[in-house]
Amino acid sequence: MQADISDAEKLYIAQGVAQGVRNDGRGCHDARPLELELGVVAQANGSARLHVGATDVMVGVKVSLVSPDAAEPAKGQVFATVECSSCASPEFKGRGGEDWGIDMAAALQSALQSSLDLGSLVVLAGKTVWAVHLDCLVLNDGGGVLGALSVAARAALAVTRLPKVEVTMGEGDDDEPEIELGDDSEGTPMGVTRVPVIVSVAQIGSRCVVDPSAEEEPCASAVLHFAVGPGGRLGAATKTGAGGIPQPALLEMLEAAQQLGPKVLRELDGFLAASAAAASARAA
Amino acid sequence: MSVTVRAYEHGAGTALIRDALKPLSRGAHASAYVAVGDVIDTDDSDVFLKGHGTQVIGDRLVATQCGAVTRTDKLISVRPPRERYVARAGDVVVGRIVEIAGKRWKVDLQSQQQGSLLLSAVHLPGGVQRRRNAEDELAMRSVFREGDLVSAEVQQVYHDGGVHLHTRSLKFGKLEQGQLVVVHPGLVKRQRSHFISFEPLGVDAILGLNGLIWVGPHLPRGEDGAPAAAGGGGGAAAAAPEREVRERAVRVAAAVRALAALHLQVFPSSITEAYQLSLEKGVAIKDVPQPAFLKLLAEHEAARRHNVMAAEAGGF
Repeated sequence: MQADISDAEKLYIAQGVAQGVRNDGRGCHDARPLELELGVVAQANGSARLHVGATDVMVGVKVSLVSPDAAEPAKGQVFATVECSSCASPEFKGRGGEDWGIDMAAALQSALQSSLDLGSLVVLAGKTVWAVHLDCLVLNDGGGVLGALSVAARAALAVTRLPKVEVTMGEGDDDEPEIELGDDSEGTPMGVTRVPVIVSVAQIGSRCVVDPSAEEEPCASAVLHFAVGPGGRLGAATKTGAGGIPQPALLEMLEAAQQLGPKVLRELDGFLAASAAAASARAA
Repeated sequence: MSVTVRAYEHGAGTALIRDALKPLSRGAHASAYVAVGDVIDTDDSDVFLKGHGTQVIGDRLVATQCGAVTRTDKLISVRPPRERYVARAGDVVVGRIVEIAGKRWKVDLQSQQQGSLLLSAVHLPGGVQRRRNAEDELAMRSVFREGDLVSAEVQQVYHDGGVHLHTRSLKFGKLEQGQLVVVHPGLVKRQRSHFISFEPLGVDAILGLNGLIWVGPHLPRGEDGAPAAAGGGGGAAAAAPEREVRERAVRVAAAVRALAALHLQVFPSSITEAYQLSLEKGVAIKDVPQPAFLKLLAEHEAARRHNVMAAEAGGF
């Protein structure tokens, strides 16, 4: 419904941003609270659902044993798909969400491939590796979907446990080794400390705002999405929107993303640690 | 610069207001709320009219919808709690123009069907007389274009459910300078005036009965109710309001969102109370619709209802 708002509303939002007051009372550099649910999909090895304002995304992680890519025998594999519910936004009506989903899946996949320790996903060198499938679902678009997906993906990966594997080598040289899968509960966690979160910064008028909402996105001349890792390390950047960004504004946007990103990561890790502690307390 | 990560709680607002109001409950009327298939009590009378959401099976009246039983004289009907907006003549609504179709605009009212606003049912800018010719229809986009928000009155509801709107008074028309807050239509009740001016704040609000609420800085209006500056939707870029005024308007909008999160009715008085409470507690605007303040607001509402009930009990 928010897809095309009137010019008058856009003007009001732009004037507000110029004065430093956004329509939901946030300042220009404030992000919306992230509301997280863990373990929402029973069949997945790890899953998370994230609500940010009206935005609602879900990520499920499924791991499976595959034979490695011939070119990279000592590396595990990561695949991401993003599916957009056609109810999520008027733009996704019919097949409208498909291209959009492909773009976002590509962004997520490249961010994960460069930040996950793929070497640790090898079960049997040259023969068997873990393939990590991230299935992302956009249930509602209330702005900042890419950022929400990245946070949900990191959370889902953090709670994912790789099942314990027991490899029994065959007697002869030609015998295939036997692989036995253990229980999920005694699996090993994946290293996610380097997985980045994506911070969106929109340029509205001459100022920039972080985490734009659905009604702010159409007011922006351009939106930059930065993948920010721990310590503010910049991983990648993509831009949506046709407008140009002057250099001083670009530096300001970069700085905002590099300040917000580590804060999101710290808050997220704190939340994950707290919920892990709560879960083990319940189990005891 | 701030961000928080917390657990998502499904139906948190509902739980907050339910817990706060629980001590005040006198026990629900068993027959007031029915599920599909429940027999509706007709008070042992054979003289009743079956209304919407009911069906006569045998000699008993049975609900075909879940909802509250409403009795209007002999007519018994069931109204579901989260139904879409059902228009009635005379309602003040806020809608978004979605399409221009020969001589009329189609308006999204978040109802079952789109409303229609006839070209002959609007005041043209500057109050000029309309010439009924083809150019007039071609120039419709200069009055309202797709995406524009308008306030209007329901002129007539046809028996097929079609809603005809009009903006023939100067207080209706295109909405500029402000923001839209969408709440459930059941939360806005019919009241004497839907054009609210929070005088000391310099903030105006239009409480659309379809759940669309427009909040913006106060526009000085003439004797006839027309905005003095806009000149009937002239389209000139309005000057930005002062920062303090805008902050107050944004806080009013946040107060409306907080009320809606707790399923509390949106009245001018309830908005003012939520606004004042948020100021008293020193809550930042962005934190008004957040759980911490919602808890305070639920407790405040419970205390208010307790006082009202005590006063009623004392009166007898």
